[in-house]
Amino acid sequence: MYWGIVLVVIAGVSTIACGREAGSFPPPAQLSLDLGPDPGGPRSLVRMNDPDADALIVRDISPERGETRWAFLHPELRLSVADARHLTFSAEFAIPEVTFRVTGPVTVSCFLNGRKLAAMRCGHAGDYRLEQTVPEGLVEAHKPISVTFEANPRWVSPEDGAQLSFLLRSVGFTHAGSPQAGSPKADSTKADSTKAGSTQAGSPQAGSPH
Amino acid sequence: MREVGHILFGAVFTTGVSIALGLILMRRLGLVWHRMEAALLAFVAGSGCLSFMTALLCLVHQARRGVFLWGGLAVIGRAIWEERREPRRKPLPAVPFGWLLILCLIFTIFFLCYFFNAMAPETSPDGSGYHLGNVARMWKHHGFAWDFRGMYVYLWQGMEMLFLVAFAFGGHSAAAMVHFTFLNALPLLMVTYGRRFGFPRAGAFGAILVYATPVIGVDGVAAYNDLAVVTLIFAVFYLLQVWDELKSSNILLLIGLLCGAALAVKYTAFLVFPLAFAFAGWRGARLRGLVLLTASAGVVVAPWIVRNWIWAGNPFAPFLNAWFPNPYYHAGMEKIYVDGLSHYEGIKHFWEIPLQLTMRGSLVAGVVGPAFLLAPLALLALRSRHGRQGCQQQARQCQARQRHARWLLTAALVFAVPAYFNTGTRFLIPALPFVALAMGLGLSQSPGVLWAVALFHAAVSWPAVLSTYCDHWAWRIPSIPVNAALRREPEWPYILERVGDLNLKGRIEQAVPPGETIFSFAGRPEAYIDRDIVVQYESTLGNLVQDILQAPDAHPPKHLQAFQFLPVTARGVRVVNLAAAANFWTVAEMRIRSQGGELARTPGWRVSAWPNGWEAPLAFDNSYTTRWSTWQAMSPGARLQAEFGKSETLDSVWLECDPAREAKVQVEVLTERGRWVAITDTAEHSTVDLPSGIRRAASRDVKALGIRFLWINDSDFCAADMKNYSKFWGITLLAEANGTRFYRID
Repeated sequence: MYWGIVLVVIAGVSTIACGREAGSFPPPAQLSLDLGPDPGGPRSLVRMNDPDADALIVRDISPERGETRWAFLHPELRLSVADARHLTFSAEFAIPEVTFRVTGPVTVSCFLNGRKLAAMRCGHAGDYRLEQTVPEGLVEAHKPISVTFEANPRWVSPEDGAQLSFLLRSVGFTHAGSPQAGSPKADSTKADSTKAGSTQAGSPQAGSPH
Repeated sequence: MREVGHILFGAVFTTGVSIALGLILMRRLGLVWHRMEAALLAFVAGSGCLSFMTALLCLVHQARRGVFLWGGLAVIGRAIWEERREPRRKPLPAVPFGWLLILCLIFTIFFLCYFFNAMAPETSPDGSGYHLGNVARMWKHHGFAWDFRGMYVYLWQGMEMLFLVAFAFGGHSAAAMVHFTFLNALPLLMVTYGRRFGFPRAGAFGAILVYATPVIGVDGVAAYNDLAVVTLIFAVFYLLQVWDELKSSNILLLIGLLCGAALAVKYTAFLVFPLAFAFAGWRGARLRGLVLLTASAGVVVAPWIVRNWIWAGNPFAPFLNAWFPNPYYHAGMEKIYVDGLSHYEGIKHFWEIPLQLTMRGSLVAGVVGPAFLLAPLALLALRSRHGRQGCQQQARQCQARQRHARWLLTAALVFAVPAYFNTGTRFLIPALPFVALAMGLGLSQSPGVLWAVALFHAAVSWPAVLSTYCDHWAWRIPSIPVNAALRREPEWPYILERVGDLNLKGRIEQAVPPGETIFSFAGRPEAYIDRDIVVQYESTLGNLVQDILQAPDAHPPKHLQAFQFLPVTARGVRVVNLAAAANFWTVAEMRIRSQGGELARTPGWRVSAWPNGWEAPLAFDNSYTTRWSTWQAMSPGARLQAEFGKSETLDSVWLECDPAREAKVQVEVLTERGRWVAITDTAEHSTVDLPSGIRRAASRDVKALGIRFLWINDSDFCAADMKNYSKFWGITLLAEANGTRFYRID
């Protein structure tokens, strides 16, 4: 019995003594660090069905992803531009028939960093495009730009008092002479632009539905 | 019906070869048994032999159908030839007629239920997962698949060896049928135990209790190993009692073989050898007997020890990794895994546990039945009745009953220990035969009560009755799938209905070239998917991929620890942790700087770490998604270092990491004289902006590890992010079904 125990102990000790050590290694191949954009990174234009649209929405825009999203009480987004010169702001949105029947004509105002940029009167249901040159100095390059909208009047739910402004499709900045600059989906932006009516804010054509 | 024939042949052939091997072994050992126990003990011992021999075949990649078939037929032929020369064996004392009747009745009814469930396509979680996943992989390679690593392949696979033989002829269900054979052998062995040692009623009672137990039934009809291990354990106990009467060293050799076989089937049998050794030593075994006991156990487990030692660097892999450090399974992952198994989830009070184990079952995965609430009555068997009995013969019987009860209760306690480490009800199975027999002994003075309890248990354990009181999610046999078992119902729809993941099987096998691996956070039904799956918690590789995929959201290394010091010339530098804490210490990048710039990492450098030195290069690869981690609780002395191969001047060390508040780090430099000298433990902490594209870096680094496909559940940590930002990850959705998505890394 004694020898049996001794054998077991020796076997046990010998196994314990045989754990591996890793040793040392040469440094591995050095990998590149900058591999493209992150969602929610600086963007000058966002469409509501962009995969990272959520990251650019600050408040009061519905969370479900789609071509359009509902803008509620005080919708706000945060964008950024690399070059603040010769900018044109544009927003595509729609006034749905169902809310228009209740609200009648709606005035949609747009603000950059809290300062009013433009307003558009929407006289009937349909798609709209608000486009306005951005005055120099209103926004700065590489700094967050707060984009807010106000709609008046808004549709108010008779059940819970929730307020709907309009259906937002896209918001962003382009440079004069380079309409899709800054957009990761330039083609689709262009294609959608042809669908939407392009009007200057305040012009007689403003609010032409399709 | 042809498929049914294959299944039955696979199972019967494996059982037949086992019995044949056992009979040959018994004859060589000169052991004489009674009629029924000879067949049962031959099956149990022979299964250990067959498992051992199949393991040897797997080591040399000769696990082939022809080898099994001709080798098996030769063994069976030899056994028949030898058996014909044996004198007819004596029968054991009979079971009382009433008990025989009730035993046969209940056994037949439950046998049919179990038979059709075992024959049905295998869909149990672990059976269709790793048990038969391993078997399918081994069958493909005709032996161990050395290039696939995972905790479940490191487990000693004594049972999978038997599955492999059956699988070669009858596929998945044949393997389950082999386990089902053990399910039937156990109660029969309990009956013979009672008959041999003079308490046949208690034996029959215990057999009924065990055979009808719901968790034993559902486990025994699946390709698991719990019934095999408990049968082997009970056989050891049985043989110890026989040895105690006969004192034959050859019985100790047989006991050793069974101890080894039990351990080879499942690590939870780790106590069976110490118990047998202690019992034999205490009851006066000679040195020769103890050596035979130890040696035979050692021989049976030797293939597994040797395989794991050479292959994984740890003979007891996937456990004891802190004792046997290796690059294939992290000690910290082992701790997380073991801790996860040993906690009751969702149980608020202690008193809920007996109710869960006996009647509810959803929080402990299975029930043993309410009759086991009477288990304390087993203590009645310890009563002394000498004074009242008066008769000397009865007094002797009473003493024998007490002695057996003591051993049974001791064994029940010992073999219940694994249940402390795993809260699943099935981990109590090894203790149940002993509890049931002890209950039988305790109640044997009241035969009416024995009858009543046995019939009550059988009635309330019947699947249809059980469903009326157990929790909806309790693991149990839900029905008797006769049509599926006989393959009158197509196999594949039956499987798909129960294993939702397999809805992606076709698209996965189409998209993933043979030889490529898939990563998954969760276990998958590997037995049915012809591709290797790296699961997050099953290997170092899985851990690394998980860590990388979680880097963008869970631990981007935005924390900078900058150690500044006066310029010093050194041959190396290291950061050493001085604190102890439960968390891991991690470093994404260790940058060594001089005069405001980083020293270039040249091929002449040597980087290392302790612990987990194999992953030290991850802190020097310039990627923010990979990191070195201790992968175990941080302890003083943990270090990460670089030696330059020549003298360099440096004045700061930067650690970019996920903050580990508990770590107390100091910087040491390697002087020209070869001594490590501490120079500072003061760091400036700041937050840094990471370069963009961390998601794409993650998928790039996963791809560099050899994984191009990801199988993600919607509930997984990064599932929503991958779904929303697949473009940023650089992945393409190939298929989705049942809340899972299958991606390719572009």
